[in-house]
Amino acid sequence: MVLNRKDAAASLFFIGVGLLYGSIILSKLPIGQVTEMGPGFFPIVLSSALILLGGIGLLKSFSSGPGTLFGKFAWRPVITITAGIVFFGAVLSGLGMLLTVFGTAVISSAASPALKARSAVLIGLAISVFCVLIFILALRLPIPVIGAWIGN
Amino acid sequence: MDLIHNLGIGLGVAFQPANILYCFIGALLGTVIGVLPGIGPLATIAMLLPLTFGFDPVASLIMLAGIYYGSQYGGSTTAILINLPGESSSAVTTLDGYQMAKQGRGGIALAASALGSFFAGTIATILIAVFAKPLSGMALSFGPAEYFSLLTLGLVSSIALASGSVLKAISMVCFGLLMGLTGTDIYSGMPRFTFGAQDLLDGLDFVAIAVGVFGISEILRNLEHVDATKPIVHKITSLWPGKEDLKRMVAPAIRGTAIGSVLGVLPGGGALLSSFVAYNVEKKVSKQSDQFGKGVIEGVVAPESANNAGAQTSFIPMLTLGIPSNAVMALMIGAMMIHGIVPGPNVITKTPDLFWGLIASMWVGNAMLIILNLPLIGIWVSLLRVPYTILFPAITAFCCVGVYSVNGNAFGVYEIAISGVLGYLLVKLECEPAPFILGFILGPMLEEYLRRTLIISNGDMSVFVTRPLSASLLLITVAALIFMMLPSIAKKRSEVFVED
Repeated sequence: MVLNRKDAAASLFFIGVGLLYGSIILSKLPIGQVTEMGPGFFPIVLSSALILLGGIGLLKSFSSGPGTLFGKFAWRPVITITAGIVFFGAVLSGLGMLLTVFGTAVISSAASPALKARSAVLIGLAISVFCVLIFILALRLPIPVIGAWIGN
Repeated sequence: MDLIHNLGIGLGVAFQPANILYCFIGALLGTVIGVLPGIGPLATIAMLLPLTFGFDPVASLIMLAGIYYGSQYGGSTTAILINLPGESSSAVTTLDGYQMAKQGRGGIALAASALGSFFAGTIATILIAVFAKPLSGMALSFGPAEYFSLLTLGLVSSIALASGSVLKAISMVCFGLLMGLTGTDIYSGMPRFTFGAQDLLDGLDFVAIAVGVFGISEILRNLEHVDATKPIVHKITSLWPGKEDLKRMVAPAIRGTAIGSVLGVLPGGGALLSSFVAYNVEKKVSKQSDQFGKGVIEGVVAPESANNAGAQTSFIPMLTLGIPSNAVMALMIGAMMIHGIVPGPNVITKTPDLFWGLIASMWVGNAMLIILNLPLIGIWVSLLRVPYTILFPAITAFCCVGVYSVNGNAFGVYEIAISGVLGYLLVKLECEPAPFILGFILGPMLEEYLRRTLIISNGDMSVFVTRPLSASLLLITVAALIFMMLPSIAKKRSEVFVED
């Protein structure tokens, strides 16, 4: 008997979500009755369904043939792209559009090892200038080009 | 004639210079993103949604719609020329299209796909015009029970769209429904699943989730294998199909259009499913079915007509019932709401120029696409040489700017990151995001209709089956579910999706 790790992991994820949300509902949200459904009614149906579906999936994963967990996994991109996006959210109001977009583009471009630092900077510059032109000058989104941290 | 009169209003709106321009921009952008692998119509529309804030509502819808059907055209170009579907709905076109390109008939395959799409687009436009009015009339008689059953049907048909296991797809629907309920419960005013965060009281931001799950996780998937190998593009010799080819195109184009038009209307249907079904039907009816996969023109025309017809008729449930049949339509609903238009049966009567203008513009846009795609094919081929290392940082930045500009706070931006990584993990576990996103959109509506139905019926569950319309919708739902679970179909599904 070979456990299909992919299917098992997916099933465990659904069971986990079902249990987490189920426990939140049971501790906080009134379920109510069919005639007058409380805020917990529909969610508890869904989380029970998730636990049930996950359970079936888990049982089936013992017989569905071999399966590796993730296979090839893009570790580096996951880290750099996430970092680039979080950077954007964290500094936009302070640094303004130009520098923030530049930073996000450069940080996320580190996802590709083939890209040299110099080209990353050039690409970042091009993208940030493009964003300022399109979003601020052409479309007039209310985002400052240079943020408050640097001064106006 | 009412119909002609209405189409007249529509054409009048669509032919206003500004609207022609937006239609052109939409079709052009759609073609570009269709050709570029790694960025789909959903991520593009999500990114551009905020840009349309300042537009006239008609203009913004015309442009967004153009992106959607334009991407269907562009997606087939890469499918035929480099065996790489730009959009998933063109996946099946690679089977015969690429073979034709290898035999030096790539130009003819492109022409066949463009002409088939134009034909389908024309017919679908007429169909929308004919059926929209009676359908929205019927929708006025829908009670909450009918809406609930219709939504359930939509969710179940979205499972058919997902590749891989039905069980995982159903789980993803439930997961999406649950996530969609995040935020303040409108009946009791209690916050649900906000984990104490103020920003979650209004629920998760749909645009951020869509951009994360489709845009960012797609980037992550693409970056697994960044190899610098340039795609081999086969030379295009003649663009014009001969008499023999034209003759062979007629019947598949009609069948493809019919299939696409029907499946597009079904919630959860749309372009992807249509193209698969049309290809398989064509293979069944053909006298030389063993030739399929070796470069027959029927294998290109039928799915391409079908996906374009399906892309267009999927507007019908959105415009008449206010129900998104796929994730792109959900974004369109978002776009309408931003402009203060509530999608539903009242759109036709309250804003006829918007309704008919949008429909007429689709036809105009389809005509533009023929010109964009055939004589200008060389430009799109050269677009294939843009390295992905430039594209992905740009897409990442655009996604952030787009989401930030919708609600002006950083929280939405963090939601992109979280949903992007989670979406990627789930895709690695072979759980498709499409059912999730549909569940996410429909979750609050589904709960609302369920509650209302049961309040009206005094808790009597049987209303869902005693009201004829609701009962028949549920019957179709159950039949579809059983159909998908049948072992022989399950096997077919996996065969079909292997090509994806």
